[in-house]
Amino acid sequence: MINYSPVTIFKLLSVAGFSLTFVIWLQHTDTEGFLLLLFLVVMYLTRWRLRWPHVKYTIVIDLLAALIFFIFFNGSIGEATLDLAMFQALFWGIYPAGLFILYLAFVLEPISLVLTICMTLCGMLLNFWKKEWISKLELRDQSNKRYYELESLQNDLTATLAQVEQMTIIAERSRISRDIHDNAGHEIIAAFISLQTARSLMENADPEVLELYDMALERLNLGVEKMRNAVHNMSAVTFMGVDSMREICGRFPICPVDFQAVGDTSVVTTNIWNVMEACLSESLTNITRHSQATYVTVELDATPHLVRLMIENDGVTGTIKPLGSGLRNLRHRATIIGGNLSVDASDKFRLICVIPIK
Amino acid sequence: MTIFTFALIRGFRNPLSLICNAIIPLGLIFVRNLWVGDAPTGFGMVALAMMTGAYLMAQGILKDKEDGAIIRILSAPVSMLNYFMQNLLACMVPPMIQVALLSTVGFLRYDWKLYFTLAVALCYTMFTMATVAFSFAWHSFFKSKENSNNGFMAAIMFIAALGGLLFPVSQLPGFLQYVGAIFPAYWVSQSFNILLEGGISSEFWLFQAILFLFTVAYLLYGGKRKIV
Repeated sequence: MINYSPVTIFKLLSVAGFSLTFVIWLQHTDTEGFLLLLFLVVMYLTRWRLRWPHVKYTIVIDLLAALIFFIFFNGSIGEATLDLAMFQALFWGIYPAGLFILYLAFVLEPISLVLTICMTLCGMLLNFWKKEWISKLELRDQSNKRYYELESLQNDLTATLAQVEQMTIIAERSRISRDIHDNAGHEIIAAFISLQTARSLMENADPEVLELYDMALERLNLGVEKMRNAVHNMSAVTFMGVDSMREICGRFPICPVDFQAVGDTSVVTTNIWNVMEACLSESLTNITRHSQATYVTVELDATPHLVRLMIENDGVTGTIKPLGSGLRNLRHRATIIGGNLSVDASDKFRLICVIPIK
Repeated sequence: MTIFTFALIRGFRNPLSLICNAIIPLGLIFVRNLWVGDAPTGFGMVALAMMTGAYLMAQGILKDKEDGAIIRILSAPVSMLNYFMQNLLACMVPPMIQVALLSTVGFLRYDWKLYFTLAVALCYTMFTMATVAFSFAWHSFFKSKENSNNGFMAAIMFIAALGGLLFPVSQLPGFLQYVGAIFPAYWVSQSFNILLEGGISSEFWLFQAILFLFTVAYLLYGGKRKIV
């Protein structure tokens, strides 16, 4: 199925024009006429094949060749090739070519002039259609781009949700493990030590009572051991929070990263850690790709009310290019939880993410 | 020039290519009756053999496209233009050797004048370029060798008949005498007619310019971007 774009219509009409001109040539069969026709075909193929920005201006050569032939040689082939050249010129937006009509008005027969004017107008209309078609394609491309960006953001957020769930589970297990170890664990171990001490004072007690006491002590010892194992197994083996960020900085291969964390980071929620870690990862990735940094400084500042992450490097500075899709998505995610992400490139490149703690 | 050497050797591996590029032209050159007299037909026959030989030599590029070798070739540090030009050069070598031999034999054996010999060599050279470019453009049109061969076998008879390679176009009826002008074969046969009738004239040079433009047109159409 043919896609009826203005360019396709132009190609079809051009081929039809060349064919018709060849048919006209068959009535005269002069060598010069065929040479001109073949020259115009070569110029047409050149414009079709070469993708130079200003290649369309070579149509002026076609016009001049057709005009010279029209003036000095055969009239009908000259007219046909001139019409064809003017049609192409107007399609390519070379509007001054239309001024040839003023000259042709004096030399052509009325019907030939009408045909020339029709060809010229056809080229102009196709040119207008082409401009409108291109602008619509650009609009479509922009909306597709926006759609894909939103889709990418949605995928990021979906992946983040899973990560946050996982991190929440890990954080809760760590909390339980810590509570057991710090609270119940100490009490139970203190009781065990007391009972062991009391055992040494019970040397003269009834043997049956001593046996029962020893069994109970043994069971208590086993219970402490199991509790200790359970606390150990529940402890998180993956890095979280500050440790995770420190580990990310430690793995950066390009240049040294100076990581400093200030304040009480225990109040920072899993959701905020997730955004902060993503900011840090994205920044370090961008430094690897685009910057010639020799050092990177990462400062994490946690107050009771907000968390501030600043990533600074001495790489590329100056005019800030529009943010890439990665940082745009992070800005969205920070905004969703009430935060903000900004970039400053005046003297050094700084990325600052501030998120309130609710 | 690795691709050039390989393309040349590959071209001659086809027995038909060897026949069309070497045996037939060499055989025709030495048949006196084809080259003397009022209307010698040897010029057209050699041109037809050249056209077929060039087509067969250029088939390698279609084979590369068909079996995917071109993808592997272009992943090497070879530009597409380089690949294309080396293949083009390889296809032109056999016809050019024929032209040189023909000119030499014609000059020595058939007493051609020097200007006539050089003009014939020029005609055949221009025709060689145009026909090789035509072969490339033809192959770029097809995806498989079989379809290309079938189409060409059907087309070449029309081209030869309408172009005046087998018999003078004046024997054709009416406007059919000029329809062949869309093929380079017509203009090369007209060039030989001009040479045989009156020698080199301005119209002869116009014919050569037309043959050159045909070369450019076919190369633009069947150029490197259509290879892959």
